[in-house]
Amino acid sequence: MENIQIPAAQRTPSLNLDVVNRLFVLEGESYPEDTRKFYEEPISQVVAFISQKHQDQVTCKFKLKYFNSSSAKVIMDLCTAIESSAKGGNRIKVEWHYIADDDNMKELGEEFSEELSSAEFELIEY
Amino acid sequence: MNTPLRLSGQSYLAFRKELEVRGIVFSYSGFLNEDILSGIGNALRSKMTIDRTDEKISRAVFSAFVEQVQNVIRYSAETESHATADPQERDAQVVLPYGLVAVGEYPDGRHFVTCCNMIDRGDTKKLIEQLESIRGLDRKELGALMRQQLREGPPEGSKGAGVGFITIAREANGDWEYDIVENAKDGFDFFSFEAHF
Repeated sequence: MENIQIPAAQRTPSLNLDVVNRLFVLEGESYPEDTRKFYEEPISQVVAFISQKHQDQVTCKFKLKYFNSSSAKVIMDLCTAIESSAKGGNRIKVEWHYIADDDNMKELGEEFSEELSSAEFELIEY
Repeated sequence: MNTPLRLSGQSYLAFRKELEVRGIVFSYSGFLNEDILSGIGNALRSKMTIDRTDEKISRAVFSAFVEQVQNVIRYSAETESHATADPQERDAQVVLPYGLVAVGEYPDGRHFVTCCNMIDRGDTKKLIEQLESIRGLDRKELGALMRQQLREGPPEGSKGAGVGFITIAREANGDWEYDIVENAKDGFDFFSFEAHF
């Protein structure tokens, strides 16, 4: 499995997978022109990585300032993969970062956390 | 002597005043694509920064703007298309949908995002059902519904995640409305949707 390093662009977030440190980070804004075109390949790799057997904790960090509803679908698919992997015995932590006054982003994090019971979830204000 | 074809500054000034009276700050009517979305979206954010619009409202307005314009791009039934020169291209067919976008502020301080487009008359009933099913739901209920739809996947015929209207309704705390003008054009109904912030 290889690392993924996609830099942020105007309408797409930075997407990084650090295989050695077992860290996935999605950061920035997400309202791609073509959601599938942007996410399909990297997310399938990330899901494959998350689903592997891991000795140590895997961390998935979401630090999004804005995402549209098509991107929300991608986040949901990731949550499903994360929960399924955690149920299978992996230790996975989801960090949901939000700007201090952004109640909406905090609430969205709380919504997605409802999908996670075996995986650990933490809301982090910044 | 004015002929009907001669430029009339007066008529454009009247047009501009009509927009101002309605509180419209940004408006676009014509063929739309994702570049228009990016461009107006950026200008809209700049304007709200200059106006020192409350951050929470700015974010909600921007979000509704993106969802609504993407709805028009995906679902406007009134389109023009042509094949690109290179048939090897993934999107060999360029489709330009026609729609109307307006963003502004009412005298009472409420912000609004409005989008209008033609829809096929055959799709009207389904759209009304979809919208009526979320009428009256509060923010929390809409959040739960959004999650359920995301989990279950898009409904048949959807070109996105199928949660665009739910997302807008949630961010507008249920303060949205729609209107349909039947038979606005041959075979088409005219659909308008507005969210308030």
